[in-house]
Amino acid sequence: MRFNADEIASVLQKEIEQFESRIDVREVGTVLEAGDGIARVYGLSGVMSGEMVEFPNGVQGQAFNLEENSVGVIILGEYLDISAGDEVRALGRLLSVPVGDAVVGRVLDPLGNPLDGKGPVDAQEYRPVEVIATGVSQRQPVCEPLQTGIKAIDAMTPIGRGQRELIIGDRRTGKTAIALDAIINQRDSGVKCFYVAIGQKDSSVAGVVAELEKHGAMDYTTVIVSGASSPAPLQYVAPYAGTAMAEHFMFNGQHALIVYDDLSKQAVAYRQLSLLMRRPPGREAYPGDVFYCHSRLLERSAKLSAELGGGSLTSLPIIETLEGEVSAYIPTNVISITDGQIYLQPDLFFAGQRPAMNVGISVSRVGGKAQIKAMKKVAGGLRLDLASFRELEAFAQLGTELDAATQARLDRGYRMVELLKQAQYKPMHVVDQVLSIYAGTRGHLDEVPIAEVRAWEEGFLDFVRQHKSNVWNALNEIKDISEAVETEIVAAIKEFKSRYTAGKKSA
Amino acid sequence: MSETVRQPTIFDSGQEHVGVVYAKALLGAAGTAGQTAAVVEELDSFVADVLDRLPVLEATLASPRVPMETKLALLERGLAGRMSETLLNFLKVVCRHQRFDCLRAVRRAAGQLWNEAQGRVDVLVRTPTPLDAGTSELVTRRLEALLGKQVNLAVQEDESLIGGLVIRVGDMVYDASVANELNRLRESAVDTVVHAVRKSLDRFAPPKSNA
Repeated sequence: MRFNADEIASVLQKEIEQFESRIDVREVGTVLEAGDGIARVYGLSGVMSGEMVEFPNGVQGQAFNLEENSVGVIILGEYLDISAGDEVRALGRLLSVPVGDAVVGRVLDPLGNPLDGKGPVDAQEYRPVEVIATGVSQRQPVCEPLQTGIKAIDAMTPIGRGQRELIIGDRRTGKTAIALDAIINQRDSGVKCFYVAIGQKDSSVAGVVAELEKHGAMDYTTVIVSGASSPAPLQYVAPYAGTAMAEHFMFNGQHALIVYDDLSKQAVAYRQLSLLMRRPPGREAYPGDVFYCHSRLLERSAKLSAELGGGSLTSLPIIETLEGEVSAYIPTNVISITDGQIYLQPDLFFAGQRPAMNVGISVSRVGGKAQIKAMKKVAGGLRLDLASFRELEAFAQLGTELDAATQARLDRGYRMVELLKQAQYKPMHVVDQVLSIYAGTRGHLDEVPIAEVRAWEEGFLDFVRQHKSNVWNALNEIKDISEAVETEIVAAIKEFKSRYTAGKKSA
Repeated sequence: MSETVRQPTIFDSGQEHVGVVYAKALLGAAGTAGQTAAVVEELDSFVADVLDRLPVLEATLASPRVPMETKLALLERGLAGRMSETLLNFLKVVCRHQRFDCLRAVRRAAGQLWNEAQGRVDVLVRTPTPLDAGTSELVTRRLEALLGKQVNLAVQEDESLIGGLVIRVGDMVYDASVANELNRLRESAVDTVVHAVRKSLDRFAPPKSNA
């Protein structure tokens, strides 16, 4: 389109007339050496730690190391056109990112620049990236559930709003898939979601964004990307930037969920920066404060007290282990910081159990306080069935003759394990989960062949939604299994079973 | 590359540190003898007039392969009687500790420490046109009043500033140049126009008759 030049000229003229002449005061230094994402600067004698500085090509940096005669600066952007002798000026402020409704639905880089080609981010507010987490008196214990829509998690290791639950496992065991299902399940819950991709392949992140868009999740999700080819300083800053954006909602009485995918790569980026800055390496060459790097990030997820609005920030950090080694340095660090772990194991994954969660060793330290009453009632039975199944699993492989009671427990266990399997991108409503687990733990699945369990479950839930919606709605409203509701549920199961067997006979 | 004065970009923080240590010792010794100003000036002159003109001398004194007695004898023969005893002793001490390569760092540090002790500060002023004596005086006096210290004014010409001046004191730069103001004006004007266009595209659409 063509522009009206006169209008532009009038705006410019007004700008010139209103221009206030003043002396520009700045603190400067000179670049001594630059490369690999860091620069050493001579001068800047009054600069403070973490202060933003600017290079002549417009790229910003952060004062990282204050040494006796020079300042180590990490460069938040392209470092290739910064050369020795360039003048660096201090900006007198800390790193901040745009926050608010302007960032919802966007794909951004850690500095808040848009990457999705949908125009600039028109934010009214900015928040500093590094803040001290809320204190003890400003918090209250976690009490509301955050439904992930995944049966295994919501039943066995429930997550509450304000909790930190670690997703840990080897590569390609479904860690991101769990996080994405949790995000997709927040559609009608009013929870704002943030997905921080650190050091991931850009193609993977594009796939994630496409899936989120397909399921309508991008309406309430922000994706912050610092891919594998982005400089280490940006990968290091990305989780903090995402947390600042999420904290805006937390401090305004709303709820937010943030996924860090993954923190192992952020630790590697931090290690790169620290080694280049000549900070002493510790175990596995990580710097001595790599624990603090993660703890100050994860401590910012909280459930605020009622005086502060009762908002919350739940985080799902992801850690990748090598060869199942959960006793390595970074995994043990993050395990000790979070309020529980979800272990994903490759042998379960390849045996067909997906999500490949090892229910025995996964834990949630918030537990039942983050579950609705109905789920608490059925989950207890599920836990017992699975525990007794695990004890006996070894016997099944021996092929010996087992007595009826043991065989029954085994059969029940196989069916419960089958019930916990779930397809990707299909999070379930909590009422559906309760119905399904109830049917399983009360023995109504014992006659169904193991291979048909999931089809039975799908059919049953469809049946309830279509023909017994009063039961579904009653459960959804009171969130508990009262006696009346229980009788209705049992009746519904019986009715569906007769239909199911009739359908099979005629087929 | 323009001729702007730049900080030394070969920076050895180890040498700088050693320089500060030896400079403090030198100033202390000179202070005891009551000759600090003279000694600092002499050191300056030694580096500028002697070492810069005779690189072989510097290399010999810095080399670890030349025996210590030779170096000391060289210093004694070459400089005794032409230089204050304090400075000569100092040079011998530096040699004995094998720190002659840090001598320039010592000189820089000594200069800075002496300036600080005297309440003097180096100021660099860049202007597009040469400053006449009256203006230099005025600038010096104003700066002295502002900073509360004696000012060593150094003036540099830089046509790209177009007008005004840029004053640098230590790491602080006070930029009152026309070039800088024009740049800032340009940035804010572009920002305003972009913002206005984004807010209401219709306002900037061409008049209907032309469309």
